[in-house]
Amino acid sequence: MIDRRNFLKIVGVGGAAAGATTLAGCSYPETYLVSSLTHPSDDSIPGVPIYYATTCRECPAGCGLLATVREGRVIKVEGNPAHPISRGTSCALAQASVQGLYNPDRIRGPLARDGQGGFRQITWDEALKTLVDRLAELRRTGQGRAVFLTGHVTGSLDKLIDTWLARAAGGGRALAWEPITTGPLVAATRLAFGVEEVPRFDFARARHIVSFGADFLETWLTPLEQARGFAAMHGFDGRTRPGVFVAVEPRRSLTGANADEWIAPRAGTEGLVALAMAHVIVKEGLGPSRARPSDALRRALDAYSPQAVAAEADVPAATIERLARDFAQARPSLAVGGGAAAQGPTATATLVAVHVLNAVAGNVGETVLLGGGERLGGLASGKDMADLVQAMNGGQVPALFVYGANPAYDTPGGLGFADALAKVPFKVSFSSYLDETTARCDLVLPDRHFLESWGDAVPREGVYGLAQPAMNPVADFDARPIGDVLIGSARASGEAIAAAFPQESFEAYLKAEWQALKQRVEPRGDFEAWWRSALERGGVFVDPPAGRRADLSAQVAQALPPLAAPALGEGDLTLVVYPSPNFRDGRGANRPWLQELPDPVTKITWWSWVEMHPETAARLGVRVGQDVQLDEGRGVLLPFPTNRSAIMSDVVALETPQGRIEAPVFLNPHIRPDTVAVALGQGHEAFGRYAQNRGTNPMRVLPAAVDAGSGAFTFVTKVKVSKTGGRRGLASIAGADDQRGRNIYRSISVADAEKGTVVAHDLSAIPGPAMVPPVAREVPYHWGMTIDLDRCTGCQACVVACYAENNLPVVGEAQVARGREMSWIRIERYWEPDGTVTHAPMLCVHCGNAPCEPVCPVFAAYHNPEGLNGQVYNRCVGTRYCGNNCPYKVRYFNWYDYSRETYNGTPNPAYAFPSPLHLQLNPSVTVRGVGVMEKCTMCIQRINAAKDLAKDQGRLVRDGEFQTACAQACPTEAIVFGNLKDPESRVARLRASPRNYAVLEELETAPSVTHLAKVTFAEPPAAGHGPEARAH
Amino acid sequence: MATTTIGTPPPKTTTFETMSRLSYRAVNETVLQAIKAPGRGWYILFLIDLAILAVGVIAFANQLMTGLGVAGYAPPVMWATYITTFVFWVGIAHSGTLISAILYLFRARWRTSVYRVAEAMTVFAVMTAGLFPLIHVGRPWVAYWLLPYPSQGHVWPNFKSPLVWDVFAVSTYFTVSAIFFVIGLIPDIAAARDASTGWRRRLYGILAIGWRGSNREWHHYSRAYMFLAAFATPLVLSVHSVVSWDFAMGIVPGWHATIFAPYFVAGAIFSGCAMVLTLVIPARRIFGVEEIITVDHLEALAKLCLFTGTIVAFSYAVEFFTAWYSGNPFERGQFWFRLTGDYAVGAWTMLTCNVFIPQLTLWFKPLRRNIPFLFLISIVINIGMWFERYVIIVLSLGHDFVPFAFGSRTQYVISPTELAILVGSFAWFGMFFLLFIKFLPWVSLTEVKEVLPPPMKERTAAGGGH
Repeated sequence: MIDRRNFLKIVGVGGAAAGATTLAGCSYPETYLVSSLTHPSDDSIPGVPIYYATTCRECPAGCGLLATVREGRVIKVEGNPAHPISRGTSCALAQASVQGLYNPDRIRGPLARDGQGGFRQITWDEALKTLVDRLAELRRTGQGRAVFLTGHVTGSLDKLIDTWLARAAGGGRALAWEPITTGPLVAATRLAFGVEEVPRFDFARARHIVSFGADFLETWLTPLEQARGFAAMHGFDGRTRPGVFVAVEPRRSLTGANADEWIAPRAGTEGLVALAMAHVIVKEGLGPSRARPSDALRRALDAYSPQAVAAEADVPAATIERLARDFAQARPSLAVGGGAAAQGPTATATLVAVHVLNAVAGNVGETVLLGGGERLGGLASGKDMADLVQAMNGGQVPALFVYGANPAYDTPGGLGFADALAKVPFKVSFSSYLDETTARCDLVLPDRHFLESWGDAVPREGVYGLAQPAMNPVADFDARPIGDVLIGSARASGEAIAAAFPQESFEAYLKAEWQALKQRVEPRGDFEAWWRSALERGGVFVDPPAGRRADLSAQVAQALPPLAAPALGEGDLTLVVYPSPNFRDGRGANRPWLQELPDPVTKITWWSWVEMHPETAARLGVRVGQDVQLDEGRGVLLPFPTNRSAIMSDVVALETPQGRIEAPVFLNPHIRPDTVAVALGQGHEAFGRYAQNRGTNPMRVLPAAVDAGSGAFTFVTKVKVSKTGGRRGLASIAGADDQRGRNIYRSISVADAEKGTVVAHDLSAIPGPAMVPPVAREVPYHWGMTIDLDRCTGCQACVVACYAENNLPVVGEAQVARGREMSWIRIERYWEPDGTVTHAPMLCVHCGNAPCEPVCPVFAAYHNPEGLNGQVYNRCVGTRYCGNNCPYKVRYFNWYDYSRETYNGTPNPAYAFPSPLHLQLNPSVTVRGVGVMEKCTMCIQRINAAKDLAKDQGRLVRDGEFQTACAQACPTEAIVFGNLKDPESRVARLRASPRNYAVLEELETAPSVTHLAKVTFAEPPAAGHGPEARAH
Repeated sequence: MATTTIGTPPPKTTTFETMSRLSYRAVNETVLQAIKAPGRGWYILFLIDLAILAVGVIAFANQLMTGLGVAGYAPPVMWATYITTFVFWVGIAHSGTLISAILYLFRARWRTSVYRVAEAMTVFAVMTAGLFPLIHVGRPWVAYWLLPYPSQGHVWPNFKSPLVWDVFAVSTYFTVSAIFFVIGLIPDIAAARDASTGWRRRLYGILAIGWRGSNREWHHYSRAYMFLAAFATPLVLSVHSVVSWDFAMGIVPGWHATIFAPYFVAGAIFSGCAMVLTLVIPARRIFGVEEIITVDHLEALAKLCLFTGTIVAFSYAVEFFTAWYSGNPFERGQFWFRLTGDYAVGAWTMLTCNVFIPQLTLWFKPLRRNIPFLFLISIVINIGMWFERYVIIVLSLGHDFVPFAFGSRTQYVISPTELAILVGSFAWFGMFFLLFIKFLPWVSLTEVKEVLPPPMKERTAAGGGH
């Protein structure tokens, strides 16, 4: 029998053993932090960021950036406030540029063909020797027929390429290929005004904008500048709503979603609508007298009556008349044409029609400025490319050099570029990534990323952007700047050629060019000081040419589009191929952030889709959202939750004589029933793990047809649509497409907004005490934010900025399909019953009376004295009650360990930062481990840094001294951050607006982040309702 | 039979006719014959059970290694099968204490035959339920932070959180029901000790803590038993009330309702009684105790099911009515979603199993006394009650305030991991139940005898049995 003593012994030993084993098994491995004892060689201080001004090369707009450098590596980019185009804002593509820098699929060194269809790594010496040898041969036998294909390149590199081609390569042609081209706009401006250029458009001054397909908030010309102008003319400014915006396009783009009214003409008839408007303006004498058209034009316009156009464009004549009157009465107004309208078979004629409309409404010289110094033209046309293909096929291109262009991917399938490329004996790519074109080249000389290189860009006269290396090159990649390679190879090609290249490096070349520039813009003063200040500011910015008005040329009447919908080939539906707001023409597709970033219109991630009107889908028997797709076989199907899901779609095939593509259908009520649309950018065959074999490339079905006026390729064609019988899920983040009448994101009419109607409900009418009495906190700060629903365009730059700033993991398509994306801020998109679209940024609103806090059993969710909802990752047990109880659903759980590279040596498939992507991680922000909840912190690392600095200087943090990452990126200042306790702060003043209200205010959560109601026209803006009418 | 502290003799008009023919000796022999060396059938059953349990354990180990991603969670549905199953098992745990404590205090004499099984079921069900919070949390290795222990960080749990209440409610309930169970076993174990030999005798000897059946012992025993019954009674109501507050204290439409505590308690008893039926009907057959657990007992359980089932049905009606009457769009949206939305099959399964089938059958006496039917309906009710929690948790989370964040784009589907752990939890429970039924007297000898006519002019064979 057991006596008491033995009993205690057994219990004691057993308990201790159990305790010891349990504790030992569950402890964390010991890790060590080794602090640096020696000071780094450069001027950096560990923990303190340095900002280097540079110029973005992600698209032709040439915006200024500030690269944030921590401990010698770029961790983020911000807009450069000194830059006149971006003014401190940035876009999704720019934010993702750091993932180009650290892309794990970046080419690691020079490559040459290995003779077995693959590449072998070579040394730079070898590579340069090959290049020099081939150049010598080229100079002997090439007959000056080499071709240098670039993207849109301006500034010194442009000049260097020309010189190099002429001298080192024995002559040849340089072609700047951008699939999203300004060619038709340049041609139309020549035809209409006799000036061959891209005009400058002043969005901010316009009081009525009609966009004929121009996606000016997404990819057209300079999106950030245009977004800022649009917000100025369209956002409620506290007193009134300055202007009206109407979108005329067959498929409502993100830009169109911001319009007060969407008019959907047949694809290719946008120009007819513009002419019908001009017809009404001229006939009714609505334009200013100085804008009176010539008799020839008058006669030409006679034919384009609204009634005649109505039949061709499928737009009611009354709508055209109303639109024309509103447009003419609001002065100045602005009509812009682009997108699908500028990439149809009558693109140039359409844009001539838009110019005519601007002219007769008196906008030229007001909002349409000629001689404004835009440098966005000069691109190769589709016809140039077709000639090149012909030459390549004919063996007349001895060598092709490619830099910043990917024509094997982004030219129409009908052109056959890739096949022709194979016939070029010597193909050199300077690309940093193994894209479709580079994969077909013989020699790959990887360029450095723009954040590691010298460079400049001149998107507009007077805007001389300078790019400097913000960091030492990423050690993983043995890349050399293209400029250095060109100069080096030329200087190695003999004395005579070397003489044309006096500088040894591109840096020196650039400096020499800028010495010449200084002579032009600021002849006095010391160059070194000027150069240094240019480096600090990110360039030299002087006023661009003022721009002027111009009269329509006499022959404009002959350049108008014929009064008939253009013939688009054989097929039952019209396909519109549009540039993706995320990937542009596909160049962004290898950035995991951009893949996980939902498309702003459809909210789909990681794949391609065919946009189709619900009526068309019903007619074709296409089913969408009938059942659930299970990811990766991880789930098993039980009989219960299988009916009615929004995610499975029938796959359809789009066929043309050029080819066939397949993609699942997305039902979009904002597209014409006779039209389907597919975004550019996916369907890469190469281009790294994130882009490869994902979705479909609509270019493959496009014919090589060109617009007669400019020779630009046509992105609109008829297709045959059929169901393939397959089904596929689309990883969308949209749980619903409308607000279900809940009025969570509110809107008020312009009239009510002007009267100052208070949007928030009076909750004092609710009986009973507040759940938690407000606590007076003796601290000088209460951090808060306002989000203006009237200014948010849905561009999602904030979303990518948040990924970059806060080390958010990318989880992949299968996880997004499970709703497990980690995006701390999301843009909710709602199709409203009145035809408008609401874009509502939603992030943690940092409730003063937070539902998440009391339910956390361990105080991991806690409240900080400065009004923030903290989340202590280390304390989190992972009960997820906070996530359930959050009415805004802005808490995100780490379902897998996204932060861990391996499990005891085996690779962790969920690891989100494959080397060297991890170098981008922000050292000020924890990378969260498995099993913990996370959410928006209001960039607490920035708050603390600002408070530390202020404390050092013995003052309080000043308003606007710093911003959260989302607010900083926002192109339209829809998100404003600051200290609510400072009554003079911008955020406090905005919070006092009558439009201010708390989302789900009836829950009395007392959020620190509040929204400002959207301002809409309850009806489509009728004549007399526009702001100009009120001013009269 | 010694003096009973209950005071009154058994009523003469007992309906349990078959039982009254039994002698004390027969009771002892019938019941204790189960506690013999297990046969081949038992071993096979036990091994199958362990195999199923092993699958569940492996699934859990995998989840622990790779993260909760292997479960089917589809945010906003961040609670799902694990919490559903937790509440299910806590609910099962309910009827045990109800039958042993509350019905004891209410002198419901029919409880005597089944209360031991019910009590064992309670203890094992709580032991099963207690695993699920650990399986469910993201970082189970730090789950002890929910306990108020003195730590260097001076951080205590958040006593505002219903999850902390849960820790206390469930652990208290487990402690009290385990003590109640063990105390109630003492006289019976003594009987078993006296009837057995070898290591069993030593084991029972320890567990019987020297029970000899003296008058003084009986006196203390009866007092202690009644005290514990009184102590356990409020716990029956409190534990599931607290579990219901896990939901009701949240602001999620479909959770935030004052009716939750009584609704959950009724539901728990409903499912618990059904589970007792599920366990007892085969057991009485296998161990041949049809004379002790008679159809009258089963009918009494069925009536309890009917009664609590009616409360549950009423609660459903009240929930829907409140949602409509409140005019609150979120509540209305939620309840409309339940019947018509993505997971409507779950809601209709719940209504069919918990309302339609029981209400259409259990009102009829012939069906209540039809043992195969009772077995069937007990399983139907258990399925229905699992779905009730599934509906409350998954459907409410799938459709709350912000439409864009609705779960419609991505539905929760139970994953193989969750299924393995769910089935494994039945194996875990089954493992304890199989051991119990083979090693402990699974019908209370003491109390069965209390309702029998005392033996006159005859010595009792079993020493302390009475």
